[in-house]
Amino acid sequence: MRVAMWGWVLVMVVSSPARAQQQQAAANGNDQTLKRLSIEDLSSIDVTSTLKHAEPISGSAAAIEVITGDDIRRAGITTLPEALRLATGVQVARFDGRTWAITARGFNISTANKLVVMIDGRSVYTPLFSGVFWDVQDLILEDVDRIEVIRGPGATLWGANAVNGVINIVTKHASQTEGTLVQIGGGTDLGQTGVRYGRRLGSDGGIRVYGKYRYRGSQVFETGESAQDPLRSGQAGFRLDHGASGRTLMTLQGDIYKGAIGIFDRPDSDVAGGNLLGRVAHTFPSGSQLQFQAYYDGTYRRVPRQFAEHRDTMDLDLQYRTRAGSRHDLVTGIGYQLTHGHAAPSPVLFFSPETRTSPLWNLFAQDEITIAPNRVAVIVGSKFEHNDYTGFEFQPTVRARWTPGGRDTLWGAVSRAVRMPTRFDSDLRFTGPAPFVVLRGDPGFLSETVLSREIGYRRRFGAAASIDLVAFYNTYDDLRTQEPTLPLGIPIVLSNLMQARTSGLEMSAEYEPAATVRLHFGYTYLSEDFQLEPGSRDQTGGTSEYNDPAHQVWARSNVNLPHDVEADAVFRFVGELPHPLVPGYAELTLRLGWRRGNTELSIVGDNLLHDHHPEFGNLTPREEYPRSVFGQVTWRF
Amino acid sequence: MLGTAVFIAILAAGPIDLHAQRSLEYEVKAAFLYNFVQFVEWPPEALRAGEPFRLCLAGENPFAGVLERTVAGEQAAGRPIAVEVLGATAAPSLCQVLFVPRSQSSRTAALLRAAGDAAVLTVGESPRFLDAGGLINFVVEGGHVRFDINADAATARDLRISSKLLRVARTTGSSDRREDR
Repeated sequence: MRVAMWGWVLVMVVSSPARAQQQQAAANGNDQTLKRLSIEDLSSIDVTSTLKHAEPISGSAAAIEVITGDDIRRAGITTLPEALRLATGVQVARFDGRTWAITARGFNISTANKLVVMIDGRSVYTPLFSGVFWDVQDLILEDVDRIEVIRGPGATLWGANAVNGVINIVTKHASQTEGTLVQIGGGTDLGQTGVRYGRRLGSDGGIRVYGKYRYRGSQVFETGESAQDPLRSGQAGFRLDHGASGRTLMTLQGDIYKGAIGIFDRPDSDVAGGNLLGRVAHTFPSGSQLQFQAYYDGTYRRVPRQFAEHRDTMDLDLQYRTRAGSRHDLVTGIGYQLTHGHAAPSPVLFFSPETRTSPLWNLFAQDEITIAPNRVAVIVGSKFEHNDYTGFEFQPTVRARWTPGGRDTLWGAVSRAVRMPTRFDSDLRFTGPAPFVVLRGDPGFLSETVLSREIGYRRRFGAAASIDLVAFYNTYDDLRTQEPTLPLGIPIVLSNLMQARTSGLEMSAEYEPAATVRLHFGYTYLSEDFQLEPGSRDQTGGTSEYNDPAHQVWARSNVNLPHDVEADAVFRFVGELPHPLVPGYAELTLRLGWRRGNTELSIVGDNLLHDHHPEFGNLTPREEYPRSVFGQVTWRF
Repeated sequence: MLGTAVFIAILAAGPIDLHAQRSLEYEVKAAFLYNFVQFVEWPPEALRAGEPFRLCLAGENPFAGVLERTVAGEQAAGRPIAVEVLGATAAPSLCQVLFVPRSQSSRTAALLRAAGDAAVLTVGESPRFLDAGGLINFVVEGGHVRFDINADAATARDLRISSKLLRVARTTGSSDRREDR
C-alpha cells in the first residue's frame, strides 16, 4: 500500500486520475583542430553565437550527442519525446497517453526530475516538480535544427536540476525556413497537420509563422479495453531572426497552445499556455561576446476533481564571453528567474501555501584554460545559485581534455550538481479521499545532490566512422524518501534520507560504409545501488524514485536507394524494469520515404515486433502500446 | 532587473565598430577549403610537374594567416599546398582553387571569365556566385557555415566532387536556390 502511494500522488498531478485511483572550445582559434573535423562537424559549428553552444561535438569534454533534424525526419518520428529515443543513453518510456518518463543515467519515474530541458533557450521543465509535461511540448518537427543531448551534470552552465543531463532543442534560424510547408499525416494512432510559412527579411534575416493541430487516439489497457484518453491540441507560433552573419543577432519568438486530453470517468483535462522570448547577441571587435535573453512563459493545466495549476515564469539571462591572453577563454553570466504558481485545492490534494512566488538568482563563471595549444585544456567553473527553498547552492565542475593529433579526444570531469526542492517536495498536502493529510511535503526539504566523475574517449576513423565511449561513477545524497510519522504512520512526510551510487558505461558508434548508407549504434549499461540512511523508516525502500533498465541498445540505419527512395530502420532494446516489473522489450520502426521536387511521401510502421507491449507504469491496469502505421505527405513550395 | 542594467552598461561602453572581425567564421571557412581540396579530384593535366598545388585568393586575404596555418605541411594531389594572393592582372587559370572574397564580389564575373573552362575549383561567399558560374559558394545560415555546390559546372570542368561533399552541401543545383533540408 505504502509502496504505491507516492507513485499514486505523482500520477495524480501528471496524469489522468482514473487509473491512479484504480491503482566551442576547439572552435576558438584552433585551426589545427578545426581542419581535422569532418565536414559535417564543421557545418555544425555556430560561428556567430558561441556562448554556451560553442564547441564542435568531437572536441567537447562532456558526454554529448546531437540528433539532427534529418535524423528525426528519417526515423519517422512525430513527437519530441520520441525524438529523444534516438539519443544514446536517454531512457524514454511512455507512461500513459500523455505522460512520458524520460531521464538519463537512471532515476526514471513518471515525474522524472533530474534533467534540464530547453527549447531555444527557454526552460520547459516546470518548477512545480522540476520535470517536463511532455504532452504540451510540441513543434513542427521539420523546424527542429538539432537536439543536443548532454548526459551527466551540466549545472555549472545550465543551472540547478542539470543533475543527470541537459536536453537542448534548437529550432532552425528563420532564414532557413523560407517558403511554405504543408504537412498532413494520419494513421492508426495519430492524425496531424501543420502549415508553416517563412520568408527572408533583408539579406540574412527571416521570419516564419506556423500552426499545427494534432490528434492522438486513445491508448489501450493491457486488458485490451480503450483507455478513452485521446489527445487533441492546437499550437501556433512564430520566430523572427535578424542578422545571421552580422555582429548583432536578434531573435524574437513565441508560441501559444491549447489542448484537451480525455479521461474516461470525467470531463477532459485542459492544458493551455504561451511564451515569448527575445534574445540579442553582440560580438565586439575584440571577439568578445555578450548575450542577453529574456522570456515569459505561462502555463495552465487542469485535471478535473484533482489538480489545477496556473503558472507564470519570467526569466532574464545575461552572458559574456571573452578571451584573456592566449590561454583563457572565459564565460560568465548572471540570471534571474521569477516564477509564480497558483494551485487550486482539489478534493484529493492541495498546496500550502496555495500561491507561491519563487525568485531564483544565479551567477556563474567558467574558464577554459589552454595548457598546451591544440592539445591539453582544463575547464574550471562554478555556478552559484540562490533559491527560495534552500538558499545558496554551489555547483562546480572541473574538466580536462586531451586531443593528441586531433582525431582522438580523451576527457575527464568531476562535477557537483543539485536538484533543488520544488512545490512537490515542500508544499504538497495529499489527502486522498480521507478528511486529513496522509502525505505531505516538508518546507525543510533539502536539495538532492550528486557528485559525478566521468571519463570519455572519442575517436574518428577517417571520414566514415567514429566511436564514443564514456564511463561514469556518481554518488548521490539527500535523495527523497517518504518517512511515516510515529505512532500511527500518518502523515507520511517527504524527507532526504537516501543515498545512491550509480555507475555506467555508454558507447556509441557511427559508420558510413558508403555515401548512401549511414549506420548508428549505441549501448548503455547502468548499475544502481540505493541505500536508506540510518533513521529512515521509508516503507518503499526508495523504490518510488527510480525504475531503470540495466541494459539498453540502439541501432538505426538510413539508406538512400535509387529513384529518390529512402529506407530507414530504428531498432531499440530496453532491459527489464524492476519495480514495478516491466519486461524487457525490443522494438522496430521502419520507414519508407520518397522525395521528388516539392513533395515528400513517407510511410512508417512503429512497434512492429509486438501486437502491444508496456514501456513503464505503476498503473493498474497499465497502458500498452500497439503496433501502428502512419503515413505522411509534405509539400514545400 | 540587474541583468538588464548590466547589459545596457556593457553595451553602451562597447565601441561600435562596423568592420566585422569574423575570425571564427574564417577559421571555419579555412578548414572547409582544406576539406574541399581533399574531397575533389583534379584531372592530371591540370597539375604541372614540379609545381605546388595553388590555392589562390582573389585580390586580398581575408583569412589573416589562418588559411596558411591550416594548410601548412599538408599536401593536395600529392604536392605541397601554396596559398597565393592573386593580383588584379594574374591569371586564375593556373590556380587549382580560386577563392573570391566577399570584398571582391564585384569582380566575380571577370574572375570567372578569366578562369574559363580550366579545372579551377572556384569558391565564393557572395549571393549569386553560382549563378555567375562559380562552383562552390559559402553561406552563413543560422550561425553555421554552409555551402552550395554547382555540381554540373564542376563536371563540365573535369572536377570530380566526392558524393560525401555533395551530401553535406545545402544544395547541389545550378544556382543559389534555397530549399528546406
